[in-house]
Parts: sequence; C-alpha cells; structure tokens
Amino acid sequence: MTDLPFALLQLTDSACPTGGFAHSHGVEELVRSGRVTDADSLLAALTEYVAESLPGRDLAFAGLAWDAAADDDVPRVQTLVDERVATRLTRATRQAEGQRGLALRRVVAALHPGDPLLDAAVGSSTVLFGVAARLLGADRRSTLRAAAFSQVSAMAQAAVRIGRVGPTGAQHVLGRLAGPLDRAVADSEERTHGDWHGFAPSWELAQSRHEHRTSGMFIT
Amino acid sequence: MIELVRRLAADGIACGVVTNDVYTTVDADIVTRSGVLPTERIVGVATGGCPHAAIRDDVSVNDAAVTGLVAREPGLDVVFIESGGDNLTATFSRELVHRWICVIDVGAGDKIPSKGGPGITESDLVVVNKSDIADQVGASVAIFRRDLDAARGELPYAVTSTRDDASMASVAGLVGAWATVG
Repeated sequence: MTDLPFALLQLTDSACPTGGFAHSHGVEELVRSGRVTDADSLLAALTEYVAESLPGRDLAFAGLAWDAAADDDVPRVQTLVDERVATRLTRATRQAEGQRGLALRRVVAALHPGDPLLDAAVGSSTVLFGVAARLLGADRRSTLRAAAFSQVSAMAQAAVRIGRVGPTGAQHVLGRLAGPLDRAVADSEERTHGDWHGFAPSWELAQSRHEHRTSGMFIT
Repeated sequence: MIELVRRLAADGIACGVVTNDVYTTVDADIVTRSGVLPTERIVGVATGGCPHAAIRDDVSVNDAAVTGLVAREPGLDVVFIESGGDNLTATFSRELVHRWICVIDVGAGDKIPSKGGPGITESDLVVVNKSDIADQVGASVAIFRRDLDAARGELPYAVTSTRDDASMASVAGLVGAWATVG
C-alpha cells in the first residue's frame, strides 16, 4: 500500500469539483462579526477550530469511515453517515454533507467504479472521503492529514476571497497551522465510535448566524 | 478611470496605470490612445484567466507589473490597477493594493447594490458611474443611493458622470488625498 497515492492528492485538490468553493465553513460570518480582520486573527480563529472542533468532528468520522471500509462493513458506513449528518448543527451544513458527497462520489466513480461502500457513504462527504481514501490505497494517517489540511485550506481560501487576507498571507497561516494540525490528527486517532465530542463555540455560532443571512458569498 | 487620471495629473499627481484583460491588452491600449499618460506609465496585463483571480487569489502577475512600473518610473505618486467584469465577488487583495475602488455602472441596473458582495460592502469607495443615462436604461439613482446607504454604513460612495464636473471633482479630490497621505 502506498502512503500517499496520487488519487488522495486529487481528492484534496481545490480543483476537484465537489462544490467546496461555495463554503466558508463560518469564516464569512467571523469576518462580518469583526473577529477575523487579517492574517493574525484568521490564524487565531483557525487554531481554535483545529484544536476544538476538527478532531472530534471531521477527522473522527473520516478515520472511522476508513476503518469501516477496511473491514468492508457497509452497515457501519451507513451508520456513520447518519451520525455525521445528525451531528451537523445547521441545516446548511447538513445539506452540504449530502450535496458534496454526491459530487465526490462522481469523481471517485472514475477512479474506483462500482463499490457498495461508496454507495453507502454518499450521504456524507466526510464519510465518503474516508471510505474513498481507503479504497484508493491511502493509509489511515495520510487520510486524516489530507482531510485536515483540505479543510483548513478551504477556510483560508475563503478568507482570501472575502478580501481580508491576501493569498501569500493565507499560505503563511497554513504553514503556521502545521503543528496544530498534527496534534488534531493525533487527537482524532484516539477517538472511538460515538466519541464525537468537540465544540468551538464561536465557529458554531458563526455558522448558525450565517444560515439566517439574506445575502452572502458562501452557503456556509 | 481615464477622466480621474486626467484630473489628478492636472493637479500635479503623477499616475501610472496597470490594466487587466483576459487575452489582450485592449484596456491598456485605450488608456494609451486617450493620451492622458505617457506610454511608459501604462502596463497591460493579459491574465490568461478571469481577471479576478489575478487581483485576488494569485496576485503575482499584477505585483510584478506594478513592481516593474515603479522601478521604471520612480516618481509615481499613485498606481491604478484596473480590473473589470460584472463580478460581485471580485475583490482586490490587500497584498496588492492600498485602496480599493469598486466602480459600478448605472446601465447594469439599480439592483446591483442590493445584491451585495465585498465590492459593495468592503471597498474603500463605491462609484456609481454613468448616472446621466439612468433614465434611458430605466434605472433609479435614488435606489442606488438607498441600497448603498444600507450596505455601506459610514463608508463613502459617489454617484458620478463624466458629464457632471462636480461629481468627478469630488472623486478626484478623495483619491488625490489618498495619494498624498498614502
């Protein structure tokens, strides 16, 4: 098994058409509220997210989905999808799980056609990512690292598009998140089924507020 | 922009211009033909893609153009970086510019400010240009003003026409002040 197959890089490339460009994951609202005003404040906000929310939410589900795929356990994948969607706090993020899952499924179909595990995971992009990574030959840690970086990279890029952080500044932020991301991956590796705890209040509130805005650049 | 540069130049402010087009340097050629600036102060950037990417996501090609222009013309007080398109999500990266002017056209319709986007809400100045054609295109300047008041709070905006000397003078005054204080 290859540690980092090209297919995993392909899935995490921002050019992969899974609708990621339409989501800021709360960054837009944090800009509106004045919490994120520049690269330093973006780094502070993302550091909180990476420490408090990422391990028990996104990464735990991706990792346990990887495990279920390794065991060829379709019912367990379906359970993870249900639980992942149920633990998303806003309607917009729940819908995004399914919509992005469908889009990711279309991409993966070309790489790995016709697998019941993928069909079972299609309701959650997070779970599908873990399953697809396993089927494409990625090891578990590489899968989690790719998922973690992909998430914060998308959030930093949202800040660039909003105009509060420049493209070079955003790359500096990502570089400084390397340590926190490593710790988040290690934290998530300790998680067992049902251990979904993780809460970053400012991010959760931002997503909830954003859902009630009448206009915005991003869906979430 | 040509009219603005002409007024600033008349006030002794040395300007340079960098334009962004996808495949050509048509906008730079238009500035050149206007005669408002010496040719050596005008640079046309062909971005090869949607210009908003070259002013926001990866500004390196514009950064190189500005750096080259300033090195060649060290006496410049202000450099305008122009990028166009009907794109409400376009933003100028603060890594590229000190100030950001969002110019919208009355001909695009009085719905534009209500659609929002960072150009409307975040730019340092919104200019609603071609106010003289509002009646011909069925647009209401009052609606532009109402929605910009709501969207911008304390941030400035101006309703202009190149046929309205006072409106252009007000914008030139503000930009000239920026050029003076940085």
